[in-house]
Amino acid sequence: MNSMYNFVYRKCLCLSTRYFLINNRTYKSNLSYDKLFPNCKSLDILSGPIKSPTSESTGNAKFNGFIPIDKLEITHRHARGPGGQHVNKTLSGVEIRFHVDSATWIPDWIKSRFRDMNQTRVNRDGYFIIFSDETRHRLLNQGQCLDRIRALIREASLVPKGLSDEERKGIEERKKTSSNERVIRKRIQSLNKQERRSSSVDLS
Amino acid sequence: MPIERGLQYLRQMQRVTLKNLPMPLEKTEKWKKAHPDENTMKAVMSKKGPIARNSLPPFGIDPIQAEGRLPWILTVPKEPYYEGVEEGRQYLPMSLRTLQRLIDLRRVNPEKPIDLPVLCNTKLFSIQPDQRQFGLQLTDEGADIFSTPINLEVQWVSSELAIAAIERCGGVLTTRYFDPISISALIDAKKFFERGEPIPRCDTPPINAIEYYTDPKQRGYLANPDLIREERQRLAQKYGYKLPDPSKLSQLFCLRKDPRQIFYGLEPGWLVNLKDQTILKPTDKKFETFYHS
Repeated sequence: MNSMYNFVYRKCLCLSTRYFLINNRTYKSNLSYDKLFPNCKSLDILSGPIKSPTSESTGNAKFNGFIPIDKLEITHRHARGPGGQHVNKTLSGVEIRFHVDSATWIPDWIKSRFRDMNQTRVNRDGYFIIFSDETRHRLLNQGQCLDRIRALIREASLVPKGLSDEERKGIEERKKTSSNERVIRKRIQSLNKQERRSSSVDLS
Repeated sequence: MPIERGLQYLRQMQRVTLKNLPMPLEKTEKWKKAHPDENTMKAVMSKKGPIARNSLPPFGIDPIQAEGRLPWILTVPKEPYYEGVEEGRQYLPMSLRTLQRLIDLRRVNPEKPIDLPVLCNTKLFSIQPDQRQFGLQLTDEGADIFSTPINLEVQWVSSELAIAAIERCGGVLTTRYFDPISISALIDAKKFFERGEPIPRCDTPPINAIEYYTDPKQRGYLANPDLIREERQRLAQKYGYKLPDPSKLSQLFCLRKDPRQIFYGLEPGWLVNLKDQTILKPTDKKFETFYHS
């Protein structure tokens, strides 16, 4: 039957690709994806709109969590610790570097604080270096490095809230009252000491 | 006359006082004698013995027949280590290392979608449906070595690292449930077609598996595609790799089976005749409605 395009059954059941790419022959049951998810924006797993950030945060905005992997330099190194031949041969340690000043994906107001807080990790040339070899898998170590970078950026972005006007006024008032009370106490104590002394007034 | 009778009663009966009135809340002495309270019981009964010391055996046990020993039901201990083992689903492990090895030795073609019949035809995995084995699971050994983009379909994935290893190379992973009848058809497809049975329609997963297969984090086949895309992006940012451009991938990577479908390109209900190289499709309406439901 030549109308059925070239259906050949071989050991690994590979149908001719053109057969099942013909779109009007796709099978749709009651549980097909367009019936299960009618309000879905795109039924394709690979392409479609995504809510989470896919591009860098710009300028003075908040850090949105996106790190462009192209702009980081990732190298695989030897890990430290016990493990014999396996640890000596496999490169499961991961080092990530990037130049802090030219990193456009960190907002500017965080960058200076970030550099100050992580002086020990920043190179003389201005490169931020981080290294991880805690797990046996390279992917997990890479994930840990990135996680640490995100945590450090968040730490740098937390600016402490200043005092409000009411709080400042309250502090000043309290200071004044406490100093006044201290002065009164001192005067009383000095009176006590004066009365103990012999007076030079003649009481005859 | 009834009035006179009433007056007669009044002459004979006692004077009404507080003592004579039957108050409902107050208990008479007669009632109290019949229902002794705790303190009187303590004073009356013996102060020794198992009753006074609260050490009687539990209800249902005859102290005379027990003869001082614990009854058999209490002597035998309960060790529930393997409770529920007969009901649990089993999945044979397949590591990323074996997958990469199969691809390098050209036993499996990475350009076409890889699913259960393709892997069973390599004769490396012997799945027995009567032993409650429901397919293959992906383990994360060899995650650093894996480096080919494939369209993979397994039955269970437990670690995020395995999913990330496949998507890092530009591949696609879905987890899919097959019921035992479908599994026996998928393991040895040639034998199944020689039996002459129509292709079965796959059942929905059991209740304790629905949570897994609707979870986008495990890439379940019943999960919302929007959420799966978010999870792909999240893993790419977490582990530090870039997702591939979807326009450059071949169309085979976007191929996905319908939840009722078992084989790629074949519908449930069809009869495959290998000898005459034909496929027989049902035309009766009741069969069509069943296989399309």
